[in-house]
Amino acid sequence: MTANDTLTGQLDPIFHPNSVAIVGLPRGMKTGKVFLMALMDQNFSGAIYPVHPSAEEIDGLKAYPSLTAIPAAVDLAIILVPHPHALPVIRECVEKGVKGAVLFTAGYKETGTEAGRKLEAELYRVAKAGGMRLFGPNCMGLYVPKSGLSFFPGLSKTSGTVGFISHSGSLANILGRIAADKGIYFSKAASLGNECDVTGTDMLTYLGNDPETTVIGGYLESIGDGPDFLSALKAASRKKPVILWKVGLNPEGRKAADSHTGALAGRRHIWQAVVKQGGAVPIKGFDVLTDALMSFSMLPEGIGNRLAILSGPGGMAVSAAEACGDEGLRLAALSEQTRSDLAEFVPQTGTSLANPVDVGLGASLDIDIYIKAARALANDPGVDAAVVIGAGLNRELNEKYTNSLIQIHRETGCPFLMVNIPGFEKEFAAAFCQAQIPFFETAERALSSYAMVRRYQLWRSRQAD
Amino acid sequence: MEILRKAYSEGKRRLSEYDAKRVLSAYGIRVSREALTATESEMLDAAADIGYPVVLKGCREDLVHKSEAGVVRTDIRNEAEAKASYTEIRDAMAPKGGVSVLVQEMLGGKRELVAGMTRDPQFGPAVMFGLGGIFTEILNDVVFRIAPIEPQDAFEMMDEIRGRRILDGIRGMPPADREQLKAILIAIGRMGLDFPMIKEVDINPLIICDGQPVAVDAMIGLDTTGNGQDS
Repeated sequence: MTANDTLTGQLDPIFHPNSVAIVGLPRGMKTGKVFLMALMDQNFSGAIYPVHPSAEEIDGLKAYPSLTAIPAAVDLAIILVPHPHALPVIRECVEKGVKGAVLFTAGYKETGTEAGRKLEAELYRVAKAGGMRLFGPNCMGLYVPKSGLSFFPGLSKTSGTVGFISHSGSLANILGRIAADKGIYFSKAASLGNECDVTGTDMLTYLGNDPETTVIGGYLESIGDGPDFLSALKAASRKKPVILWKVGLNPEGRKAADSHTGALAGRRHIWQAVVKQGGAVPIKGFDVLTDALMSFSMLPEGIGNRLAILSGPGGMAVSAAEACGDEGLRLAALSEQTRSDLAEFVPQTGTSLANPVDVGLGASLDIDIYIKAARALANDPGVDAAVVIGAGLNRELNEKYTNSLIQIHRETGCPFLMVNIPGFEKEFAAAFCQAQIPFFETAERALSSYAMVRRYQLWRSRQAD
Repeated sequence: MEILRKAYSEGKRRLSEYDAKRVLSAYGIRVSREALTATESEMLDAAADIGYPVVLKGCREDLVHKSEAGVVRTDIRNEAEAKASYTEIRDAMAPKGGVSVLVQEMLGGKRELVAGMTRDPQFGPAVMFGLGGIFTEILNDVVFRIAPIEPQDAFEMMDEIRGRRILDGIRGMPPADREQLKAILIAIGRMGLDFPMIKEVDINPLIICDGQPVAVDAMIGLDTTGNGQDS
């Protein structure tokens, strides 16, 4: 058995638990209650065991005075007790045979104190000796919709194929809350906190090997084990895209350097090296993160570089064409057939039948012009993907526009990159995303995301196995 | 490597240029032809041996910014010029220690590159490549990779700098030997992995002479915190 099998073997049951104990679950509406609310919200199908020193029952669930008092096996423990009480709880977990624990509470290494660091090291030592894995401390833990596991109520119950690693619990939470509207669904998300045991590197390796995950995203604040991280990244990115948002990249070189090399080696330079060698997709900012997760999880394998642009607003057509060039993509040469098809229904004035196809203002009243044009472009064998910038003048037209384009996408398989025109209803934008058609705020963001996916696909095809 | 172990055990912060180049040579990197001399007559013999024009450089491990310290004289064409320059260098060096002078061939290449290594606290030895000489600091046109450097990494580094066309055959000059540059970048990464006591390496300039990269100046900085012992 290799080390990877061991990691998968250890983490799989924690991500797919049959039973969860919540140690230190409060009776009233205190912070810790969100963990129970989250499980209830997800309709967690396994057993939930509150552990509380005196309560007999919490929110209708029978409570136990200790882990060892629970009459059945416990796969996952969510530990909410204050840090001075954590160590005895971990010992009890080991005694009980708990497979993994999430340590929510703060007050450890992140305080910068020696006592905090020592306590954390001791937790790790006890857990390791007992064959148990720890997430945290100072973390939100796990969100696995397939298992009904979540760290916050209100996250999507639909499971998907995006695996996410976060050094920020709140960022993972916010991403989880907006993801469904963007059509981004998760296989597994983990907030890692101080990483006393399970690290970002472990999670990269685990998600890289995880058959339920096809796209990996990560928000990273620090990396403890550089060379191991790079190896894990290299291995994972050869299997699936790894989109990384790294913060803390200040541009300064190191001050104590005698050499030019040392003086020039800013964190950004080093991170760029890691990204290049590791094959990661580097991104910055929440908007780009969601664009990237959306694009990587929705666009098919082997996307081409010949883009068609369909737009009502003329200026947006021109700027989209320019963005196409900036991103190293090409404007598709439309076939004779497509051009003659378009000529049948696109008005003759104020429009253009070359690519970008500018259907003019009239299309926002006669929405069929958009729909027919989109179909003509999607059927053109010289078009690898189409950027569609359109909207009708009212809700009814937009509903028809949305349903028809989703239908055309289903029938033709041609990737559409939808671009917002301000005023377009949010519910229809979400409908596109839920149909796995990415919807972007601007054409620039659409093309930059498409180019990002294409660059990764080309990079991976060049890597020897 | 004995030079490194000795300097490290003596608590030295860096190797002299001469010693640094001996380490580079041991890793197969071509360095300028040179001789270390302790007296004026040794210097004159070495200059005659190497052949004029030559470069004279004061060589001592405490000399970091040699040009600023006034101990570098280039394009010395004959014995008279050599004697005059030697006197100036000796006067600049003598107040702070021994006088030893490096006599080097004067290389004609116009294209100056930089290659180096620094030890990143998280990722370990990181290798740098870019435009050298005075352009290093002005243009900051450099790129890094984490060691070990694979051939693909090295070629990507050459393609990634903004001034990459300097490596092509331009203005009648032959293209830079990319295989040699690759070998240098791999070797520098290897040095960092082989010797934890090496804190940083600078080859600046790495001059392209008839297409071949040659280390004309070099610095190897050593760890002084006691973290470099496990070698």
